[in-house]
This record gives sequence, structure tokens and C-alpha cells, in this order.
Amino acid sequence: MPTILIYSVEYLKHFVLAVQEFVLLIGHALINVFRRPGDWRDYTDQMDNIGPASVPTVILTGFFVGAILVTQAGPELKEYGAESLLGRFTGISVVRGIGPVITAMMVASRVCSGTAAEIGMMQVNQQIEALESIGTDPIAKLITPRIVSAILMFPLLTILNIAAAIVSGGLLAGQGNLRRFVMRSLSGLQPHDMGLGLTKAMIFGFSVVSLACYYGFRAEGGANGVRAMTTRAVVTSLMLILALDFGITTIIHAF
Amino acid sequence: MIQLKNVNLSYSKHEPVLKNIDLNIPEGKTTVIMGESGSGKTSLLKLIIGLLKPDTGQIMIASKDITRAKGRTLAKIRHSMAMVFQNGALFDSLKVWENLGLPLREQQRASIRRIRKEAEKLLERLGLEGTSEMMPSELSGGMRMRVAIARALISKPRILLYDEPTSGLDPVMSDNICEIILDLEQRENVTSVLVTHQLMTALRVGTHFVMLHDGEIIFQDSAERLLESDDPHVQEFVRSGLEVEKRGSALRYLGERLAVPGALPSGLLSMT
Ligand SMILES: Nc1ncnc2c1ncn2[C@@H]1O[C@H](COP(=O)(O)OP(=O)(O)OP(=O)(O)O)[C@@H](O)[C@H]1O
Ligand SMILES: [Mg+2]
Repeated sequence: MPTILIYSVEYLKHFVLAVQEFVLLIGHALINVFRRPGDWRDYTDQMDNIGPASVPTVILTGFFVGAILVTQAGPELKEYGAESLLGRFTGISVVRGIGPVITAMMVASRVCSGTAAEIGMMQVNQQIEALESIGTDPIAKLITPRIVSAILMFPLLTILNIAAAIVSGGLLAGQGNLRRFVMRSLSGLQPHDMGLGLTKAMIFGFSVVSLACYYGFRAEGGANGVRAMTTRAVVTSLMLILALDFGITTIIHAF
Repeated sequence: MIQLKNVNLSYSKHEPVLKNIDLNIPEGKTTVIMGESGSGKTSLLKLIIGLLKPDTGQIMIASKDITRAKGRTLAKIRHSMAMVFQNGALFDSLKVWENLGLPLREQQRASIRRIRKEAEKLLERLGLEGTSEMMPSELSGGMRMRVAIARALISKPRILLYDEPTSGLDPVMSDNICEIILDLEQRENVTSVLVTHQLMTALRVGTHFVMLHDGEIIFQDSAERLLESDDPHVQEFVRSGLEVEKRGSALRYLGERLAVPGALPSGLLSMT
């Protein structure tokens, strides 16, 4: 029994230290958002890496999400003679809930592993020290551009995902008129629904990439260490997306 | 002038890696640091460039105390220094010329055109013509090391730290690196600190010699004193260094003979 206690206390201590380390690292990265970057290319490269490269995945998943929603809810609504609500239902589900979450999860699995592995390799091969040795702040050069790019790109990708979902839903709803379906799905939405969806996307983007950078920086001891940190980064960030979604929804409903 | 005063260093909870280091590195000269693997040579270089902070003691560069310097102050000091890392530490995602250009871009926001020009010049000086568009992964170990040296030279630092720059290079290339170090010292009065295992490299470029053993300085003086020292570790280093050199010249001699058929000693012929 006391052994378990000792272990839990140790675990808790590690956890608190890790959180502290995370906050310091990401805080430092965020301060640099307001400084003029040393090289704009660091930003454009990262935008390029997160944004365009994720477009096919995001659109394809959007199509499947729309298709699943419509094929599942369609017959149900038909039974109550409420087929005309199908568009509305699809729009609201996708914009407020599934769209941002699915997009974040798909993009996270790509970007998170890539980021953690890249920064991890730089850490174990002394490239981060090499950056420091030339007087460059590695956090400002490596982390800040990635976080900024994620905050900008995740909402854009989410919009693409939502659009794809609504279009595929319209095609599969079999109501003949795609345009009417799209209009209906948008009609149920308030401006703040879109605002909420995109804010979520920004929060997910920020969290996922911050975690990936943090784990990458912590890598040590060669390829093995990098692999361990990459796996952890992906698993943690996927769970974090769901937890954050739950948290944000709860808070919104409380008000 | 670089000065370390009573410096102690340990990594997290482990036992100390460097103990009571008192070191004077003269300006405009080349100081050689020797010692067996794990004796703390790399750690010593990292202390000088501020990548590691000592537990206690003081580090001075050009009579400025940099022990607790950080942020912009430290970055400014680093603009006049450069370090060649033990494995090169090239940025794998950047081409060779971009690797070389990074210090210029980061420190002086140099234009791409200027970077390309300077990079080509340095690559040629190090016998690396035609590699500028390559990725580091396409280079051999020796080539990577030379790219790392070029990257350190490009910003014309006043202090250069080399961590085993000639390991993995053939004798000709090794000589070439030594010449570059000597040239920088004589023409530009650059201060160099060189970590090496090779006695001949050390004697060729060094004016001041430092020997580390188990994190402590056991010798710090001139070449003559190094060869005369009665410290067993220093003697051991010198002896094994001379032996390697003797074997090397024997092999070179043999190589020359073998290149001329019929000139082989009969003893060897019967062995083949
Ligand atoms: N990041 C680190 N964490 C913990 N211990 C370390 C770390 N880096 C080095 N050490 C330890 O510090 C000691 C000195 O290491 P250092 O790399 O300075 O030796 P070195 O003289 O450069 O060796 P080599 O000739 O093999 O490069 C070694 O015992 C090593 O295990
Ligand atoms: Mg070393």
C-alpha cells in the first residue's frame, strides 16, 4: 500500500513538472508571436506544410462524414415525415460538432507525428544546440511559426471539411436539388455557430502543435527516444482534442 | 582571451562531469584540448559557448562575464563565436548551401545572393565543389564534417570551437583543415579551441595544450612541456599517438612500395 502511495506521489510530481515545463516552453513561444520573425520563410514553410498538404485528407473525410450523417439520419427523419430537416440537421452537426473535431484529428495525426519526429531528430542530433550556438532562439525559430500556422490553418481546413460534408450529404440525401439542401443546412445556423466551430478549430490547432513541439524538444537518446516521443505526442493530442471538445461544449452549455 | 575560473559542471543528478576547471585560453592562438572519451571535452566547449551553464564558477570571454548571460546578450556574444559539433549537426532539412547560409541569414539577414556567393567560395576552399545543392544525407561523413566547418567559418567569427573536426577525414583532408586553422590564426588572429584525439593534428596547430582526465585538468602548457611531461596519462597519450603515427608512416611506406611491382620485399612476397 505505501509503495503505491510512493509511486502515485512520484507520478504526480513528474506530471506537475512536465506541465510546468510545457507552460514555460509554449509561453516562451507565444511571447515571440509579437516579435518580428528572423525569417518569414519559417512561417510560410510551416503554413505550407500544415495547410495545402492536408487538403485532400480533410475533404475526403468531410465527404464520408456527410455521407454517414445523411444515411443514418435520413430514414429516421423520413419516418416522422421530417425529411426537409435533414439539411438543417447535417449543417448543425457538422459545423458545431463533428467538423472541427474530425478535421483536428485527421490533421493532428499527420502534423503531430511529423512535427514531433522532426524536432525530436533535431534535438538528438544536436541541431537545436547548433541553432543556439549561432545565436538563434530555437523556440522562436521552430515552435512559434508552427503554432501560428496551426492557429491559422486549422479553421481554414475545418471550413473545407464542413463544405465537403454538406455537399456530400446533399448528393446522397437524394432530394434531387443540391442547392436547396445546402441552403437548408445553412439556414439552421447562427453566426455564432460558425464562430464556435472555428474557435474550436483554433484551440485544437494550438494544442495539438504545442504538444507535438513539446514532445519533440524532450526527445533524447537517438532514434528510439524520438519514436517514443512521437507516439506519445500523437496519442496525447488525439485524446486532448476529444477532452477539449467535451470541455468547451460543457462550458458553452453552462451559459 | 577565454577564462574559466573554478568551474564545476554536472548533468542533473549525476556525479560532476567537470571539476574545478581553471583554464586560460590565449587570444589569437590555437588551444588544443585532449583527453580520453568521456573526460568532458565536449562539455567544456559547450560551456564556453554558453550551451551549458556551470554549477559554480565563472566563464569570461574578452573580459566579459558570460556565466549568467542569456537572451539577446548571449546571442550577441555568440555572433562572434562558432562551434563545429562532433557529428557536424547539419540541418537535415536544408541543402548544403542553406546550411552554410543559416548563420548569415540569422545574424545579418543576408540576401540569398550573398549567401550563395559566400557558400560557393567556402565550399571550394574545403574541397566540396558541386555539393551546394545536395542534402546532408547525400554526403559522406567526412564531407559532412567539412560542411560543418564551412558553416562555422562563414560568419567570420573571432573565436572558433572545433569538436574533433579531423576525425573521419583522410590524412590529406586532415592536413587541409589544419592549414585552414593555422591560416585563420596567422592572417586573422582568430582564437581557436580544438578538441582532438590525434597527437599529430594537435602538435601541428596547437600552441597551448590542455589535457583532461576524468573531468579534471591534469596538464596545461606548451608543446615542449607536453612531450616532456611525467604525468602518466599525458605520457600514455603521447606514446600511443606516436605509435599510431609510426604505424601510419609504415603503412604509407608499404603502400608506395606495393605500387611498384617487383619492389616488394621477398619476405612479403612469400606471404601473399
Ligand atoms: N546530456 C547529457 N546528460 C547526461 N550526461 C551526459 C550528457 N552529455 C554528456 N554526459 C556525460 O558527461 C561526461 C562527459 O561527456 P563529454 O561528451 O563532455 O565527453 P567527451 O570528452 O567529449 O567524450 P568523447 O571523446 O567521447 O566525445 C560523460 O561521462 C557523459 O556520459
Ligand atoms: Mg565529445
